[in-house]
Amino acid sequence: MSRPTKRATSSTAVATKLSAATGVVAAMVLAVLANVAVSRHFRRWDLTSHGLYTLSPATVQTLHGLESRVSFDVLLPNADPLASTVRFLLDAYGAETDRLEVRYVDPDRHAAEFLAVQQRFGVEAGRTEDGQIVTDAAIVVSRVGGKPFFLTPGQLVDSGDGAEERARSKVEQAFTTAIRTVLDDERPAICFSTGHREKRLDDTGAAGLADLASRLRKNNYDAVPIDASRPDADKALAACRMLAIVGPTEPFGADEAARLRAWLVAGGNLLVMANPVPDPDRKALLPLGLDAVTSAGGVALDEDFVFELDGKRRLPGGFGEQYFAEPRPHDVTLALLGERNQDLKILFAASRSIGKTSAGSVVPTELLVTSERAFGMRDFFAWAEKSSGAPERGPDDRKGPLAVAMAAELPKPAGSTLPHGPRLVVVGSATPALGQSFSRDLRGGAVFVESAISWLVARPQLVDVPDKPAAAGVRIAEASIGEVARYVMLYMPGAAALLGLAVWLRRRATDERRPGAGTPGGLG
Amino acid sequence: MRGFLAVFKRELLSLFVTPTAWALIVVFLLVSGFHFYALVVHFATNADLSVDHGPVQAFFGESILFYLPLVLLCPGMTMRLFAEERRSGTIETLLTAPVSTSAVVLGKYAAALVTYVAMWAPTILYVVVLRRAGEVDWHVVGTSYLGVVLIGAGYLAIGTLMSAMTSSQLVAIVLSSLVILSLFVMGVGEFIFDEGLAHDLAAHVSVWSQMGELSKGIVDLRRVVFDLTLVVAPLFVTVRAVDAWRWG
Repeated sequence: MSRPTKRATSSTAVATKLSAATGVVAAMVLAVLANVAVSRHFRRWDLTSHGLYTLSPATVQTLHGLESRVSFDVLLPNADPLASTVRFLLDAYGAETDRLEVRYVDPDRHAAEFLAVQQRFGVEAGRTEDGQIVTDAAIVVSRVGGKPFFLTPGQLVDSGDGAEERARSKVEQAFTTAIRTVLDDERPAICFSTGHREKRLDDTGAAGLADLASRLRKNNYDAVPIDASRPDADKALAACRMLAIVGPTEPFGADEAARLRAWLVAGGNLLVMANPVPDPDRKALLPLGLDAVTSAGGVALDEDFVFELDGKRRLPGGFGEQYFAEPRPHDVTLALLGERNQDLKILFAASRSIGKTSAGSVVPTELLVTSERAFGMRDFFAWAEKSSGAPERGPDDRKGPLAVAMAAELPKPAGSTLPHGPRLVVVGSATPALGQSFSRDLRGGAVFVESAISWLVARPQLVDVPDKPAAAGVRIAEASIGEVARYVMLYMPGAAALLGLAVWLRRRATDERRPGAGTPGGLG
Repeated sequence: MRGFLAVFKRELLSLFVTPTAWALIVVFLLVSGFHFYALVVHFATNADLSVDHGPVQAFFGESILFYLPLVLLCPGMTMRLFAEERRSGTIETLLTAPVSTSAVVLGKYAAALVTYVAMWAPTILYVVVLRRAGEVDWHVVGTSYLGVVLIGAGYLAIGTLMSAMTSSQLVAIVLSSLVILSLFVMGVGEFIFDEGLAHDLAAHVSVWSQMGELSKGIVDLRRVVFDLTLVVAPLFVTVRAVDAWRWG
């Protein structure tokens, strides 16, 4: 080859290599640019059969109508089963508005940041036995200058009934409700009566209501003390979504009772938790004067002292004045029923029984009862003064099983647009509301009181955000597991191995018939 | 097109008549079968109260047993595509045939992809087993398999490129595994880095998140575009590399 031809070939090769290199670099740049562009302007499609992550029109409308910035502080650990659902849905929310700020604070990974959120919003946290942090608020929704709205994990999922055990997402309902609530800035007031030596909201001890008040604030209620004995109590009551009378030890006057009854019948919701109160002067139990109020719901506070004699129910020691009450089916007790909730014990101490009045059209429902062996002692002082031995049921005493908590729903007042009438829950002891019931072992009492309050102050659900379907479930009998194992770990790989062997044998046979033939070569 | 089909058929035939492909399929089915069985035992004995988490979601992408075959089998399937031909010298015959370089590369790649899909096809029987025991959202099953195909397509394209870069099958499989493993590890950074550029980058390439979304029925354009670039870019470079042998 002559020198000029060699030079020409060499320069062509360099040009080809240069062109190839330029093409490769250009392709890489294009690939990066395409990814950068799509990361800024992207779309997501929810292809689930039931549109699990597709926002309802009501949510979209709420988001489009946002006039101020709303923040979501997500305090779920990454490993939480709800974390990905929350993230997917908040991504979808974020795609509809630029007025939403979402911050993810994993309590396990970002302890300092979590502490800051905790301080800002008053979130409580504890550690599980394996060291993981659990919070009572999973998500805090807030608006600048407004009160925060707390969402607990329980509000994000409907766990279904005991038989099905299939979870149903309520995340969208919870988020949209939260946004609407923080924009509304209204927090319902739950009032606690004072003036009759009731249990106090600021008492942080085992016999106080501070724990309950804290739980209520986490659930977006304001716990407000009001003196129901004041003549101008009507005004204060008008602002109350619910009134709680917990552990009064001094009687209510007739005027007061009449005022409370009028408020209840007109649409109020009332929780009465009243132990029997010994009156040493009269040597009898003190009538609290609340029958005039509770009778509006067909409920009577019996003047007796309950002793539980069933060894399985009463606490060891004592005479049976401390015992675990048994829940009966009702909306209030749903969280306490079923095998899963057997550990939730509702402790009662020094309680009275609750009866039904014969008059009135409202029929109350039993919520909690004692065993058949329990009885309600009417002449408590006679037994107490003897101070000898275990209590025995006398002829005048009430025979078990005794109701120790009842609920009633009164007829709707004329012109009411509310979905239900005034509600009343009467409990024969204040114990379930006290600090001691918020300990881990006795939390059944706290669950009962929280459920009762939820039922009393129930607001209509956001019907415009439809329910999502339950997660797809699988039920496989133990006997079928062995069959599955055989299919997937033996038959299927075995079939593939046999097929491969057959192909190999056939190929070998073909090769032997055609000496010299190798791997398939040539085209076609 | 004729050239493409000829290469495709030849490659598919050569893949399926070698014991390697069948050995890979058997190993894959054993690993997947064990994975599935473990999940069935879990869901049969534990009530999971998550709202969007079921056996399908768990099978597709919530365990390392899903990614292990992807990381190891894809390089195994592609290692011989060009490396073996270069080693044995048959590449010369192929390149002098009247077939374009694109047809050669795409034909070989498509054959590997079809083998990969055939490998996954029996796992649809797992979903049939699930259907007998409970409910299955077939849309979610569809998006899950879409993820399997998209990710596999990307990994196979990387494997094809690595096979074209060397004449040693061993070097090809090691290089492919390293690149795929690097991508996988980069994606894990999503769970390590705090919010910021590194986190966003890791999240963008995260195969873990991608399968997390697709196995829940969510299709994200960003993931699809990333996977497509992972297919197109290596194949383009492969074409240029093969061109370089042909003309250079």
